[in-house]
Amino acid sequence: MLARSLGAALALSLLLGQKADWDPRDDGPDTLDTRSYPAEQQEHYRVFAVKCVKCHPLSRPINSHFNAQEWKRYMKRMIRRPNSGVNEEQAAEIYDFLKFYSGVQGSK
Amino acid sequence: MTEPTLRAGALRLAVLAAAVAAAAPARAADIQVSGSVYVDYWGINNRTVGPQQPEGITPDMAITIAKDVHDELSFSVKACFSCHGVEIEHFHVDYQPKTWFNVQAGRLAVPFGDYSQRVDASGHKTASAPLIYDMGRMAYGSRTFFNEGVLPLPYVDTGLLVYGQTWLGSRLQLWYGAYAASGLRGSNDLDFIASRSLYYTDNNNVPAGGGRVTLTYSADPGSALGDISLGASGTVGRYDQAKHLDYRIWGADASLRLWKITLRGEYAKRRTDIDPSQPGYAYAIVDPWFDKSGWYAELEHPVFRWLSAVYRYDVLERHGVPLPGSAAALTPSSTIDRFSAGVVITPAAALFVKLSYEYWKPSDFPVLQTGHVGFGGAF
Amino acid sequence: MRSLLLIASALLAAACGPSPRIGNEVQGRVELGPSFTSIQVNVFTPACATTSCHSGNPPPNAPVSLDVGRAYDETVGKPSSQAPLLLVNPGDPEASYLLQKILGTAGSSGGVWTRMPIGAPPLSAAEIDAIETWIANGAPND
Repeated sequence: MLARSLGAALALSLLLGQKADWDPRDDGPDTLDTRSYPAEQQEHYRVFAVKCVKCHPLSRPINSHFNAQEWKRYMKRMIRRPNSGVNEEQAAEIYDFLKFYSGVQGSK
Repeated sequence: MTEPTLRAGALRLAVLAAAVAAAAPARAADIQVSGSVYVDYWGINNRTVGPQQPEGITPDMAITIAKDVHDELSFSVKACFSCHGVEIEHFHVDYQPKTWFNVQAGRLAVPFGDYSQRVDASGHKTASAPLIYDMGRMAYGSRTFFNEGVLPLPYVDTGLLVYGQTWLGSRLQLWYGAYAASGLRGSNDLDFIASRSLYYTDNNNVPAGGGRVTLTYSADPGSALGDISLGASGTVGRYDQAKHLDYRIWGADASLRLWKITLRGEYAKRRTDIDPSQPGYAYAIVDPWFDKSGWYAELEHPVFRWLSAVYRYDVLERHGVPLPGSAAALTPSSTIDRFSAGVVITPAAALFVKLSYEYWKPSDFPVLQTGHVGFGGAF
Repeated sequence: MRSLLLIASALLAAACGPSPRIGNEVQGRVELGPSFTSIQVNVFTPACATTSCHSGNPPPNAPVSLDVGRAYDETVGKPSSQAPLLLVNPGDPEASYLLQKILGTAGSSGGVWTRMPIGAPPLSAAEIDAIETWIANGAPND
């Protein structure tokens, strides 16, 4: 029963994916519409969306209103948690995105 | 409710209220507030056995307030409200001068297992905790039956944790932590309520110790194979006031993401000394200890927008002489197998609905079919 | 890397030790019944005399100890601190505060309504019957 339902769900998710690289985490209420963002930030958002969902939903950072300095300190706490898996290059990309996002939030 | 308990609850509420009041105007004062709220209903089909289990509506709420003093120093307090009223999940100072050396001191959420990082209702897709880590909401979990799992999480204790991480190349992250803490408490077997109750001091002046290491392969975000993590945890201590009875708890965990699917598994085992001088054992004691162990394997995947699915298989085992006063049906080798399947619906930003079905198959007690429905949100 | 493997092996060895050996089933196991020894073994010790509650000398969070060796002397014929009743009134279960706490009716006697045990499922009907019968029989130390 488990194998059948798993197979059906996987098939369903494949069928419903409209884009070849569609990831349901790029749609939906826990995510951001980054289509108007610069290409570099859209790429940094992908790193953020993959790395920052291991322990809490993405809605948590998305709905936080921190400035750059606060993100720097908050990120430091997060990436020093066990199995964060965020290396220096990825940390820089995530921080760059969060700084940009903080500016977007501030202008609204 | 006794007067000391009322005073303790009022004190915790006062601490929390003061922290929230301080946080309220503090946007520019390096204070971060986060939290979650979840309400769950657990229904059991067996009307003979069901009323003896912790079924019904349960709240699960948490609020965390963190204050940054400067780049290397912060304070954090987290209060939870669930079955036992308001409790302080952690209240610690965090000194972070180097990536490879950091110190936390105070009331800590001790790192044990991968699940310890996802105990918030918003941090896991299942409606219930794994059996090995369940805290008070498992069937047959009362003191006269299994007396909970291996280590109810979060495991909160007073002590000091030294931790850090280093990179082996650009892909392998090694995280390590070691701590000394007051330790768990009990008289004959661990008493998990006592371990989280006032006073938050060592009951026997014998500190407990432990640690955790994790190895994580950091994948590129766009690749089909995501991060792979392996971890090992251990904690040992002496739990009785007379300083005679030891406990030793070990665990291993693994997780990986494969395309859109996340796979997780953990194993944990506890060996607990028992007091042979207590009257009422149903069997003669040869080895004065018992083992409690178990594992779970879990798979989650998105189905389409707003909907994810999760499946889990759990096993919990108890091997050893049943304690005096245990249910007559409890044998020296008792197991619980459980299959869970559920969905999580995210109808709007930061909100979620959990629905799940569980099939419980104990070796010594009646089979149960149960269901959860819950609603919550995180900020 | 080699030291990590050695630590991992030690952990695995500890985790995979044999299960405890069990002796023969004890004849004359104390089944639940209306005797003090049975109530101590089957009710007081597992459900009440826990580290967080009625255990200790004195218990840190409760007025009465129900530990082995203390429960009888601290309850039978002793006044309650919460209501004008004896904790265990030999021969009179209805006037015994301990039974009212278990039933959750202590508020009607001017006591505290909170049912015992706190934070745990209520005692079973068989356990309550055993205590009630024991008290009705004069609460002997048997």
